[in-house]
Amino acid sequence: MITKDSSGHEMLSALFDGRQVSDGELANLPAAGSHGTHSDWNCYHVIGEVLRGSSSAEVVGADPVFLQRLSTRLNHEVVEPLATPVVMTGGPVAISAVRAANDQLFHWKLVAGFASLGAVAVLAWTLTGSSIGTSLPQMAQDTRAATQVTALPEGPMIRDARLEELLSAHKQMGASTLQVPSGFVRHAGFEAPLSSGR
Amino acid sequence: MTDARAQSPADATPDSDALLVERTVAGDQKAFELLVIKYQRRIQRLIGRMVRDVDLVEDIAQETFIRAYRALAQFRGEAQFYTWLYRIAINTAKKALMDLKRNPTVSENSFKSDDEDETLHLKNDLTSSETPDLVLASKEIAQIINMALEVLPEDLRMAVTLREIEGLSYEEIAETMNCPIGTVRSRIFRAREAISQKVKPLLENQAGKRW
Repeated sequence: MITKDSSGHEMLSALFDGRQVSDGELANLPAAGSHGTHSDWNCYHVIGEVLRGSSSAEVVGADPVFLQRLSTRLNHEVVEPLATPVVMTGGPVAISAVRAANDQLFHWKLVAGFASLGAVAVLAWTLTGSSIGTSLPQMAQDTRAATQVTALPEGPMIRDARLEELLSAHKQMGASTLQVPSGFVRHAGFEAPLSSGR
Repeated sequence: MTDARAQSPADATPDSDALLVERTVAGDQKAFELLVIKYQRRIQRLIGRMVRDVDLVEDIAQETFIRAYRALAQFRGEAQFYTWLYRIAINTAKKALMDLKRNPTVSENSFKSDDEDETLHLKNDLTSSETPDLVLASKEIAQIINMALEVLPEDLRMAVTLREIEGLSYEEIAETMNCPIGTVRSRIFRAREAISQKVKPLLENQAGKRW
Protein backbone atom coordinates (compact mmCIF):
# COMPACT_ATOMS: atom_id res chain seq x y z
CA MET A 1 0.00 0.00 0.00
CA ILE A 2 1.52 3.29 -1.09
CA THR A 3 0.69 5.97 1.40
CA LYS A 4 3.16 8.78 0.72
CA ASP A 5 2.65 11.64 -1.65
CA SER A 6 3.53 10.10 -4.97
CA SER A 7 3.72 13.02 -7.39
CA GLY A 8 7.39 13.78 -6.80
CA HIS A 9 8.35 10.13 -6.66
CA GLU A 10 6.41 9.32 -9.80
CA MET A 11 8.37 12.07 -11.50
CA LEU A 12 11.58 10.49 -10.20
CA SER A 13 10.49 7.16 -11.62
CA ALA A 14 9.78 8.76 -14.98
CA LEU A 15 13.12 10.55 -14.88
CA PHE A 16 14.77 7.22 -14.19
CA ASP A 17 13.29 5.95 -17.44
CA GLY A 18 14.62 8.95 -19.32
CA ARG A 19 11.30 10.68 -19.68
CA GLN A 20 11.47 14.39 -20.28
CA VAL A 21 10.32 16.22 -17.22
CA SER A 22 9.68 19.90 -17.13
CA ASP A 23 11.55 22.29 -14.89
CA GLY A 24 8.35 22.73 -12.96
CA GLU A 25 8.15 19.04 -12.27
CA LEU A 26 11.77 18.98 -11.19
CA ALA A 27 11.10 21.85 -8.86
CA ASN A 28 8.31 19.79 -7.34
CA LEU A 29 10.76 17.12 -6.34
CA PRO A 30 10.96 17.99 -2.66
CA ALA A 31 13.71 15.62 -1.75
CA ALA A 32 15.96 16.31 -4.74
CA GLY A 33 19.43 15.31 -3.72
CA SER A 34 18.32 14.22 -0.32
CA HIS A 35 18.86 10.79 1.09
CA GLY A 36 15.26 9.91 0.31
CA THR A 37 15.76 10.60 -3.36
CA HIS A 38 19.06 8.77 -3.37
CA SER A 39 17.47 5.81 -1.66
CA ASP A 40 14.52 5.68 -4.06
CA TRP A 41 16.79 6.11 -7.06
CA ASN A 42 19.05 3.35 -5.81
CA CYS A 43 16.02 1.11 -5.28
CA TYR A 44 14.74 1.68 -8.81
CA HIS A 45 18.18 0.90 -10.15
CA VAL A 46 18.52 -2.30 -8.14
CA ILE A 47 15.04 -3.48 -9.18
CA GLY A 48 15.95 -2.99 -12.81
CA GLU A 49 19.25 -4.78 -12.43
CA VAL A 50 17.64 -7.75 -10.69
CA LEU A 51 14.89 -8.06 -13.28
CA ARG A 52 17.47 -7.98 -16.05
CA GLY A 53 19.50 -10.64 -14.25
CA SER A 54 22.54 -8.52 -13.60
CA SER A 55 25.55 -9.53 -11.60
CA SER A 56 25.57 -9.59 -7.85
CA ALA A 57 27.66 -6.46 -7.46
CA GLU A 58 25.09 -4.28 -9.15
CA VAL A 59 22.17 -5.94 -7.41
CA VAL A 60 23.19 -4.64 -4.02
CA GLY A 61 23.05 -1.07 -5.25
CA ALA A 62 25.37 1.81 -4.65
CA ASP A 63 27.42 2.30 -1.53
CA PRO A 64 26.22 5.30 0.52
CA VAL A 65 29.66 5.78 2.05
CA PHE A 66 31.21 5.91 -1.40
CA LEU A 67 28.74 8.56 -2.44
CA GLN A 68 29.25 10.62 0.71
CA ARG A 69 32.99 10.55 0.21
CA LEU A 70 32.61 11.53 -3.41
CA SER A 71 30.14 14.30 -2.61
CA THR A 72 32.62 15.82 -0.22
CA ARG A 73 35.21 15.94 -2.97
CA LEU A 74 32.71 17.21 -5.52
CA ASN A 75 31.90 20.17 -3.30
CA HIS A 76 35.37 21.49 -4.02
CA GLU A 77 35.09 20.93 -7.75
CA VAL A 78 33.87 23.43 -10.27
CA VAL A 79 32.30 22.28 -13.50
CA GLU A 80 33.67 24.17 -16.49
CA PRO A 81 31.15 26.42 -18.14
CA LEU A 82 29.57 24.87 -21.18
CA ALA A 83 31.27 26.22 -24.29
CA THR A 84 28.86 24.63 -26.72
CA PRO A 85 25.51 23.05 -26.07
CA VAL A 86 25.58 19.38 -25.21
CA VAL A 87 24.01 17.32 -27.94
CA MET A 88 21.23 15.46 -26.27
CA THR A 89 18.49 13.23 -27.43
CA GLY A 90 15.37 14.69 -26.04
CA GLY A 91 12.14 16.42 -26.67
CA PRO A 92 11.56 19.66 -28.44
CA VAL A 93 13.42 22.61 -27.12
CA ALA A 94 11.43 25.75 -26.53
CA ILE A 95 13.07 28.58 -28.43
CA SER A 96 12.18 31.95 -27.07
CA ALA A 97 12.05 34.88 -29.45
CA VAL A 98 15.01 37.12 -28.81
CA ARG A 99 14.40 40.85 -29.17
CA ALA A 100 17.09 43.14 -30.39
CA ALA A 101 18.19 45.92 -28.13
CA ASN A 102 17.02 48.60 -30.56
CA ASP A 103 13.70 47.03 -31.43
CA GLN A 104 11.88 50.00 -29.91
CA LEU A 105 13.88 52.57 -31.91
CA PHE A 106 12.17 52.19 -35.26
CA HIS A 107 13.36 55.49 -36.73
CA TRP A 108 16.97 54.39 -36.48
CA LYS A 109 16.21 51.52 -38.79
CA LEU A 110 14.57 53.94 -41.23
CA VAL A 111 17.48 56.37 -41.16
CA ALA A 112 19.94 53.56 -41.61
CA GLY A 113 17.96 52.27 -44.58
CA PHE A 114 17.83 55.62 -46.34
CA ALA A 115 21.49 56.26 -45.68
CA SER A 116 22.40 52.93 -47.19
CA LEU A 117 20.19 53.56 -50.21
CA GLY A 118 21.73 56.99 -50.74
CA ALA A 119 25.23 55.67 -50.47
CA VAL A 120 24.50 52.98 -53.03
CA ALA A 121 22.92 55.50 -55.41
CA VAL A 122 25.87 57.91 -55.18
CA LEU A 123 28.31 55.13 -55.72
CA ALA A 124 26.42 53.83 -58.74
CA TRP A 125 26.11 57.32 -60.24
CA THR A 126 29.79 57.98 -59.77
CA LEU A 127 30.85 54.76 -61.37
CA THR A 128 28.42 55.07 -64.31
CA GLY A 129 29.20 58.72 -65.08
CA SER A 130 32.93 58.33 -65.06
CA SER A 131 32.91 55.29 -67.26
CA ILE A 132 30.79 56.69 -70.17
CA GLY A 133 33.51 58.84 -71.78
CA THR A 134 36.21 56.27 -71.56
CA SER A 135 34.69 52.93 -72.00
CA LEU A 136 32.42 53.51 -75.00
CA PRO A 137 33.83 52.88 -78.50
CA GLN A 138 34.99 55.83 -80.53
CA MET A 139 32.12 57.19 -82.68
CA ALA A 140 32.30 58.97 -86.05
CA GLN A 141 33.14 62.62 -85.70
CA ASP A 142 30.66 65.27 -86.66
CA THR A 143 32.00 66.98 -89.78
CA ARG A 144 29.18 69.39 -90.24
CA ALA A 145 31.38 72.32 -89.27
CA ALA A 146 33.64 71.64 -92.27
CA THR A 147 30.82 71.77 -94.82
CA GLN A 148 29.46 74.83 -96.51
CA VAL A 149 26.23 75.40 -98.37
CA THR A 150 26.73 77.45 -101.46
CA ALA A 151 23.80 78.97 -103.31
CA LEU A 152 24.04 78.31 -107.02
CA PRO A 153 21.55 79.09 -109.81
CA GLU A 154 20.81 75.36 -110.00
CA GLY A 155 20.04 75.26 -106.29
CA PRO A 156 21.93 74.98 -103.04
CA MET A 157 25.13 72.94 -103.16
CA ILE A 158 26.83 71.41 -100.19
CA ARG A 159 30.53 71.79 -100.48
CA ASP A 160 32.89 69.91 -98.29
CA ALA A 161 36.19 71.57 -97.74
CA ARG A 162 38.08 68.33 -97.51
CA LEU A 163 36.38 66.99 -100.56
CA GLU A 164 37.16 70.17 -102.46
CA GLU A 165 40.74 69.86 -101.44
CA LEU A 166 40.83 66.27 -102.55
CA LEU A 167 39.26 67.04 -105.93
CA SER A 168 41.57 69.91 -106.62
CA ALA A 169 44.55 67.69 -105.93
CA HIS A 170 43.36 65.03 -108.33
CA LYS A 171 41.49 67.19 -110.86
CA GLN A 172 43.85 66.82 -113.78
CA MET A 173 44.11 63.06 -113.52
CA GLY A 174 40.39 62.64 -113.20
CA ALA A 175 39.60 64.83 -116.16
CA SER A 176 42.03 63.06 -118.41
CA THR A 177 40.68 59.67 -117.76
CA LEU A 178 36.96 60.20 -117.40
CA GLN A 179 35.90 63.31 -119.24
CA VAL A 180 37.54 62.49 -122.62
CA PRO A 181 35.85 59.41 -124.11
CA SER A 182 38.00 56.87 -125.76
CA GLY A 183 37.45 56.51 -129.48
CA PHE A 184 37.80 52.79 -129.32
CA VAL A 185 35.12 52.36 -126.75
CA ARG A 186 32.76 54.75 -128.51
CA HIS A 187 32.99 52.86 -131.78
CA ALA A 188 33.33 49.36 -130.58
CA GLY A 189 30.58 46.93 -131.58
CA PHE A 190 29.92 43.29 -131.78
CA GLU A 191 29.63 41.78 -135.18
CA ALA A 192 29.15 38.12 -135.36
CA PRO A 193 30.48 36.26 -138.41
CA LEU A 194 27.76 35.69 -140.98
CA SER A 195 28.56 32.06 -141.56
CA SER A 196 28.85 30.90 -137.91
CA GLY A 197 25.15 30.80 -136.95
CA ARG A 198 23.53 29.77 -140.18
CA MET B 1 37.86 -4.68 -23.97
CA THR B 2 34.13 -4.57 -24.07
CA ASP B 3 31.46 -4.67 -21.46
CA ALA B 4 28.37 -6.63 -22.25
CA ARG B 5 26.40 -4.65 -19.73
CA ALA B 6 26.99 -1.46 -21.67
CA GLN B 7 24.10 -2.37 -23.94
CA SER B 8 21.28 -3.43 -21.71
CA PRO B 9 17.71 -3.39 -22.98
CA ALA B 10 17.01 -0.29 -20.98
CA ASP B 11 19.80 1.48 -22.82
CA ALA B 12 17.93 1.08 -26.09
CA THR B 13 15.38 3.67 -25.06
CA PRO B 14 16.03 7.25 -24.07
CA ASP B 15 17.53 7.04 -20.62
CA SER B 16 17.87 9.47 -17.84
CA ASP B 17 21.60 9.94 -18.31
CA ALA B 18 21.30 12.68 -20.88
CA LEU B 19 18.97 14.66 -18.67
CA LEU B 20 21.17 14.20 -15.66
CA VAL B 21 24.29 15.18 -17.56
CA GLU B 22 22.53 18.26 -18.81
CA ARG B 23 21.52 19.26 -15.32
CA THR B 24 24.97 18.54 -13.94
CA VAL B 25 26.59 20.80 -16.51
CA ALA B 26 24.03 23.42 -15.59
CA GLY B 27 25.42 23.27 -12.07
CA ASP B 28 23.22 20.69 -10.36
CA GLN B 29 25.67 18.50 -8.46
CA LYS B 30 22.85 16.35 -7.13
CA ALA B 31 22.07 15.21 -10.64
CA PHE B 32 25.61 13.88 -10.90
CA GLU B 33 25.14 12.00 -7.66
CA LEU B 34 22.22 10.15 -9.23
CA LEU B 35 24.56 9.11 -12.03
CA VAL B 36 27.07 7.93 -9.47
CA ILE B 37 24.43 5.83 -7.72
CA LYS B 38 23.51 4.29 -11.02
CA TYR B 39 27.01 3.39 -12.15
CA GLN B 40 29.15 3.07 -9.03
CA ARG B 41 28.92 -0.70 -8.75
CA ARG B 42 29.38 -1.27 -12.45
CA ILE B 43 32.49 0.93 -12.52
CA GLN B 44 33.92 -0.73 -9.43
CA ARG B 45 33.31 -4.12 -11.00
CA LEU B 46 35.09 -3.00 -14.14
CA ILE B 47 38.09 -1.68 -12.20
CA GLY B 48 38.05 -4.80 -10.03
CA ARG B 49 38.92 -6.81 -13.11
CA MET B 50 42.17 -4.90 -13.40
CA VAL B 51 43.12 -4.16 -9.81
CA ARG B 52 43.24 -6.63 -6.96
CA ASP B 53 43.36 -4.30 -3.98
CA VAL B 54 39.80 -3.55 -2.82
CA ASP B 55 40.74 -0.19 -1.34
CA LEU B 56 42.53 0.76 -4.50
CA VAL B 57 39.50 -0.20 -6.54
CA GLU B 58 37.41 2.25 -4.60
CA ASP B 59 40.04 4.96 -4.87
CA ILE B 60 40.22 4.54 -8.62
CA ALA B 61 36.45 4.56 -8.84
CA GLN B 62 36.39 7.81 -6.88
CA GLU B 63 39.00 9.30 -9.17
CA THR B 64 37.04 8.12 -12.19
CA PHE B 65 33.92 9.97 -11.13
CA ILE B 66 35.89 13.07 -10.18
CA ARG B 67 37.52 13.12 -13.61
CA ALA B 68 34.17 12.58 -15.27
CA TYR B 69 32.69 15.43 -13.30
CA ARG B 70 35.50 17.75 -14.31
CA ALA B 71 35.25 16.80 -17.97
CA LEU B 72 31.49 16.63 -18.19
CA ALA B 73 31.31 19.92 -20.10
CA GLN B 74 33.23 18.27 -22.92
CA PHE B 75 30.82 15.35 -23.11
CA ARG B 76 29.02 15.79 -26.43
CA GLY B 77 26.45 13.09 -25.99
CA GLU B 78 27.63 11.33 -29.15
CA ALA B 79 28.05 8.13 -27.16
CA GLN B 80 26.21 6.72 -24.21
CA PHE B 81 27.24 8.28 -20.94
CA TYR B 82 28.33 4.93 -19.57
CA THR B 83 30.53 4.28 -22.61
CA TRP B 84 32.22 7.60 -21.98
CA LEU B 85 32.54 6.85 -18.26
CA TYR B 86 33.86 3.39 -19.06
CA ARG B 87 36.76 4.86 -21.03
CA ILE B 88 37.60 7.23 -18.21
CA ALA B 89 37.59 4.35 -15.74
CA ILE B 90 39.90 2.26 -17.92
CA ASN B 91 42.33 5.13 -18.40
CA THR B 92 42.28 6.00 -14.72
CA ALA B 93 42.94 2.40 -13.76
CA LYS B 94 45.79 2.10 -16.26
CA LYS B 95 47.37 5.28 -14.95
CA ALA B 96 47.05 4.03 -11.38
CA LEU B 97 48.70 0.76 -12.35
CA MET B 98 51.56 2.56 -14.05
CA ASP B 99 52.05 4.70 -10.96
CA LEU B 100 52.13 1.58 -8.86
CA LYS B 101 54.79 -0.02 -11.03
CA ARG B 102 56.94 3.08 -10.73
CA ASN B 103 56.56 3.07 -6.95
CA PRO B 104 58.67 0.25 -5.43
CA THR B 105 57.09 0.59 -2.01
CA VAL B 106 53.77 -0.69 -3.25
CA SER B 107 53.11 -4.39 -3.13
CA GLU B 108 52.86 -6.29 -6.36
CA ASN B 109 49.66 -7.80 -5.04
CA SER B 110 47.89 -4.51 -5.62
CA PHE B 111 47.50 -5.10 -9.31
CA LYS B 112 47.05 -7.98 -11.61
CA SER B 113 49.71 -8.90 -14.09
CA ASP B 114 49.40 -7.83 -17.69
CA ASP B 115 49.42 -11.39 -18.96
CA GLU B 116 46.39 -12.20 -16.86
CA ASP B 117 43.66 -12.42 -19.43
CA GLU B 118 40.69 -10.40 -18.33
CA THR B 119 38.43 -12.34 -20.62
CA LEU B 120 38.89 -15.33 -18.37
CA HIS B 121 36.69 -13.61 -15.84
CA LEU B 122 33.24 -14.83 -16.51
CA LYS B 123 30.32 -12.62 -15.81
CA ASN B 124 29.49 -14.25 -12.50
CA ASP B 125 33.04 -14.59 -11.30
CA LEU B 126 33.99 -12.75 -8.18
CA THR B 127 36.05 -9.66 -8.70
CA SER B 128 37.97 -7.86 -6.01
CA SER B 129 34.97 -5.64 -5.33
CA GLU B 130 32.65 -8.59 -4.72
CA THR B 131 33.04 -10.09 -1.31
CA PRO B 132 31.18 -13.22 -0.21
CA ASP B 133 28.96 -11.07 2.00
CA LEU B 134 28.08 -8.98 -1.00
CA VAL B 135 27.18 -12.01 -3.02
CA LEU B 136 25.02 -13.36 -0.23
CA ALA B 137 23.25 -10.04 0.18
CA SER B 138 22.66 -9.76 -3.53
CA LYS B 139 21.04 -13.16 -3.64
CA GLU B 140 18.74 -12.23 -0.82
CA ILE B 141 17.84 -8.94 -2.48
CA ALA B 142 17.16 -10.62 -5.79
CA GLN B 143 14.92 -13.16 -4.10
CA ILE B 144 12.87 -10.50 -2.37
CA ILE B 145 12.47 -8.46 -5.54
CA ASN B 146 11.37 -11.45 -7.56
CA MET B 147 8.88 -12.44 -4.87
CA ALA B 148 7.53 -8.90 -4.71
CA LEU B 149 7.15 -8.90 -8.47
CA GLU B 150 5.16 -12.11 -8.38
CA VAL B 151 2.53 -10.72 -6.03
CA LEU B 152 2.04 -7.50 -7.98
CA PRO B 153 -1.28 -6.95 -9.77
CA GLU B 154 -1.12 -8.10 -13.35
CA ASP B 155 -1.16 -4.64 -14.94
CA LEU B 156 1.65 -3.35 -12.72
CA ARG B 157 3.77 -6.46 -13.22
CA MET B 158 3.33 -6.32 -16.96
CA ALA B 159 4.18 -2.62 -17.14
CA VAL B 160 7.39 -2.89 -15.13
CA THR B 161 8.40 -6.09 -16.91
CA LEU B 162 7.96 -4.56 -20.34
CA ARG B 163 9.99 -1.59 -19.24
CA GLU B 164 12.84 -3.22 -17.31
CA ILE B 165 13.22 -6.57 -19.05
CA GLU B 166 12.04 -5.87 -22.57
CA GLY B 167 13.33 -2.31 -22.57
CA LEU B 168 10.25 -0.88 -24.23
CA SER B 169 9.56 2.81 -24.19
CA TYR B 170 6.50 4.27 -22.52
CA GLU B 171 4.91 4.74 -25.94
CA GLU B 172 5.47 1.12 -26.87
CA ILE B 173 4.14 -0.09 -23.54
CA ALA B 174 1.07 2.11 -23.92
CA GLU B 175 0.43 0.57 -27.32
CA THR B 176 0.99 -2.94 -26.02
CA MET B 177 -1.23 -2.49 -23.00
CA ASN B 178 -3.73 -0.34 -24.86
CA CYS B 179 -3.70 2.47 -22.34
CA PRO B 180 -2.54 6.10 -22.17
CA ILE B 181 1.11 6.94 -21.55
CA GLY B 182 0.19 8.58 -18.27
CA THR B 183 -1.25 5.31 -17.09
CA VAL B 184 1.94 3.53 -18.08
CA ARG B 185 3.98 6.01 -16.12
CA SER B 186 1.75 5.56 -13.11
CA ARG B 187 1.76 1.77 -13.29
CA ILE B 188 5.52 1.54 -13.56
CA PHE B 189 5.92 3.88 -10.63
CA ARG B 190 3.43 1.96 -8.49
CA ALA B 191 5.16 -1.30 -9.30
CA ARG B 192 8.52 0.10 -8.34
CA GLU B 193 7.17 1.57 -5.14
CA ALA B 194 5.56 -1.70 -4.15
CA ILE B 195 8.80 -3.60 -4.71
CA SER B 196 10.85 -0.85 -3.06
CA GLN B 197 8.87 -1.14 0.15
CA LYS B 198 9.93 -4.75 0.40
CA VAL B 199 13.56 -4.38 -0.52
CA LYS B 200 14.47 -0.94 0.75
CA PRO B 201 15.05 -2.00 4.37
CA LEU B 202 17.49 -4.60 3.16
CA LEU B 203 19.34 -2.15 0.96
CA GLU B 204 19.50 0.59 3.55
CA ASN B 205 20.74 -1.64 6.30
CA GLN B 206 23.25 -3.34 4.10
CA ALA B 207 26.53 -3.60 5.99
CA GLY B 208 25.26 -1.11 8.51
CA LYS B 209 25.32 1.72 5.97
CA ARG B 210 22.36 4.03 5.57
CA TRP B 211 21.53 6.55 2.92
